[in-house]
Amino acid sequence: MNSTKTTIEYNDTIVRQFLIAGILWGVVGMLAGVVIATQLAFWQMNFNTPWLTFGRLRPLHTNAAIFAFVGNMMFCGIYYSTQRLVKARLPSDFLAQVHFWGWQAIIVAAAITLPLGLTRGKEYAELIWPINIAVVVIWVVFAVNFFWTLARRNEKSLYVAIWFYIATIVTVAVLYITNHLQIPTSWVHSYPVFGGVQDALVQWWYGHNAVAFFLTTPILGIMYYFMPKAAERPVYSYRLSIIHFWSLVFLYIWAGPHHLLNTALPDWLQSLGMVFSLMLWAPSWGGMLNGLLTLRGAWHKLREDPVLKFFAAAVTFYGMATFEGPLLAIKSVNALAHYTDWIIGHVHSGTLGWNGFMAAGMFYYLAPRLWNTKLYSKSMANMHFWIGLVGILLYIASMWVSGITQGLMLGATTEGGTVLAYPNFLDAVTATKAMMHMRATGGLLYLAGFVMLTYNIWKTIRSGSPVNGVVEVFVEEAHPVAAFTFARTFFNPPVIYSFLVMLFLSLWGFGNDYIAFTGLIGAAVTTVSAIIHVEMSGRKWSEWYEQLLYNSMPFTILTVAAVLVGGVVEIIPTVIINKSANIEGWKQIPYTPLELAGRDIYVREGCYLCHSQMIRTLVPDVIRYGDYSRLGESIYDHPFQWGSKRTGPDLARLGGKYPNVWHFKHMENPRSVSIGSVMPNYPWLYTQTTDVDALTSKLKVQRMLGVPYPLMDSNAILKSTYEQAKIVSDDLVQSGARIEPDREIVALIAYLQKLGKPDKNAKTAQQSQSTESLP
Amino acid sequence: MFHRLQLEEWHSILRTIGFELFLVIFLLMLLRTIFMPRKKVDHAASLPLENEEVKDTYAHGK
Repeated sequence: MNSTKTTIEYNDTIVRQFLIAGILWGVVGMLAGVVIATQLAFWQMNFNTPWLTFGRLRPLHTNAAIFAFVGNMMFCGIYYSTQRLVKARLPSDFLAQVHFWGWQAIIVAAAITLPLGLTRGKEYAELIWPINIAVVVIWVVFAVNFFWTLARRNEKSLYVAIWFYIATIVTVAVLYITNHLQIPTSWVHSYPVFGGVQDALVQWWYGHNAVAFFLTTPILGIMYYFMPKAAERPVYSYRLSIIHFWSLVFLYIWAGPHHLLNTALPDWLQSLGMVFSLMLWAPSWGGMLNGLLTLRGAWHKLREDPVLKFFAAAVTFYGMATFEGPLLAIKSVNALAHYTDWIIGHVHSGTLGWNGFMAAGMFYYLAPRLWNTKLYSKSMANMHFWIGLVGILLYIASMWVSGITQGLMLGATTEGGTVLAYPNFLDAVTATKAMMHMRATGGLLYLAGFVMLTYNIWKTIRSGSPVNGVVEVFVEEAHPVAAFTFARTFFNPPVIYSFLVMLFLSLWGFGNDYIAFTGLIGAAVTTVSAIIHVEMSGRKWSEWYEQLLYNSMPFTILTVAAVLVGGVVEIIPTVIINKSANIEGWKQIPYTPLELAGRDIYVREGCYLCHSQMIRTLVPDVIRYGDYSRLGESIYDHPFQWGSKRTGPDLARLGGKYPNVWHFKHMENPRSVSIGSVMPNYPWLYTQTTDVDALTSKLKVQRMLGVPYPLMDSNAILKSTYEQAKIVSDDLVQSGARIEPDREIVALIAYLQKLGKPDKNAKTAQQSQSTESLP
Repeated sequence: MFHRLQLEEWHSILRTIGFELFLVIFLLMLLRTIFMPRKKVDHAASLPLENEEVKDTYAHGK
């Protein structure tokens, strides 16, 4: 075979750019985290300013940590490792620059819009719709450049890290687009297409898989490349890495419902989410062990080398978090842990321990090599490790203590289980105050470590000059492996036999009598014949797979299929259900225009970040908050407001519990009615006027989304809004609180007083029919 | 009693489909991995360890 020797120079400029951006945004994101942690310890840190409240800064922190810090770090590692693993330079420097600057522009746009209260009100999906479009465009640019690099590669085998990157790119695209389907009401506001339980499911299918395919799979790919590099030995078991990859990408997608356990989510979905989350433990630990055992024979290097310290600790935290996650996904454990700080502790053992430490190790590894120099200070890097580690441990331990305290206190009953032991929610808030201080301290230490990294890397850069990696390759003529056509991708023995086995198992599973028997026999016969076929064809199945590895597009398609099936199976049934025809029992009464305006203020201020609206099917929840939440009570909520954390009490049945003047005083200064509260003051709600003009467009979109509003023109909306606001403000005046009807606080009170007041006589379509047929 | 979303009967098959899909794909991958030739395994595992030279970017005016 003819081949020519060629010198390839990698594009490491883009790697340097993403490295610097990752470090800077990491510090910003962590600083935002320290600020909001401090706000939970000292409410005064909200500064009575709308742009600085916890509700507006928390999304800034999560978006900065996930998309700005880990995002930039991920792109840095992917661009560096991919070029080297496939021995090809990025085909387009232009696309790489568009990717870089576009991503930074998105981050800046987020940093401006989120504190202004411009939000979609969905966790890790808060950014408004124009920015969503930019994200999709930039992601496509990244994908094009990445797959183009694979198409032009000079190393035909795709190393396992590349598989993880492929899974990341395609799955994040699917997740992001689905959860960001929305209809705009203005340039800066929209309502998601999904509502109620459907939105809950789509949101947490997205939310958990943002963890999976943004925070885990690309970093695993980075681990599989950089750990062997740093340890100077190959991965412990390449075969294990293959099993790890396939089982991880398949299982992860199903785990989303574990965020909605014991809620109104249908039980079969909860079971599916729980069981698949438990199964996920196995591949996660497979990956962890593979990483740690790669260091066999090199453990002595950890003493001196900060890079290996960070990598080893990161993988250990990965193992910890992926043990804790399945544990928390068990319904009975989740009954204690959901809505508490234990979940926050779990999240941060992953983000600080796994993501943050992998990032630090990678930055320390890359900087000297990219600038052809030595690391400025190894001892400073080692010190960063120990300070960061202490920070993580303080953070996690305080959240475990706080979370379990909250869960136990809020769930404690007395008098034979009929009375709450701690009826005042604030008892749990007060009991965990010290833990809030400790968490903030831990976060501050972690940030301090990263500031040390910033200084260390900056001094390293100053001492060197940028270089690009260069490699000599022998470029062969066209590879003899046949290209995969569409037909060859799907019509081949492995895929056909797999399909037949699944078909027969399905017949066995749901068929009755003869169909089930046929299914059982068919599955057995197909399996046996598949084994015989493998033997007789001379192991051609493995050849098909080998060839698949050389054809990255068919590989990608099959990966997408494996990944998507979980989402399809879980989401489609819930989405296609005719909402109002299938709700049994209670059904939500649509908000009036004023209440809708109030609800959008609630979303703008991020109230859903501290208050849930979902009373679980658990005795302590029901005793504390009232009858458990029915699925039908929130079907018209776009976005859903079930919440994921109770820093304050659940609000699902708040309507009518307190008089209007209580809410008036509570928003002005929560401590005037709730001693010990950490909630911010909201003085601007008393001066800002409700945006009634926006309601025309909002109601139009709500009607498009299936909320049964009557047609109302802007005059009718104004009249309805004013009349209801006047009732509220007159009542406030009676109670000694003067406020104009057009102020935002009036709209918010109207909304809060609506909560938990459904139509309790709603009938399903079937029930209506059977009633009509009675004589 | 609990009032839930009334499911149609066909939904119950979805749990079965989920497990079957997982089982089949996992078993396929397991078999494939077990029978992978040693030479291919060693070649793939060594990919990150290959050495490279460096080139000063200032020579290119970057």
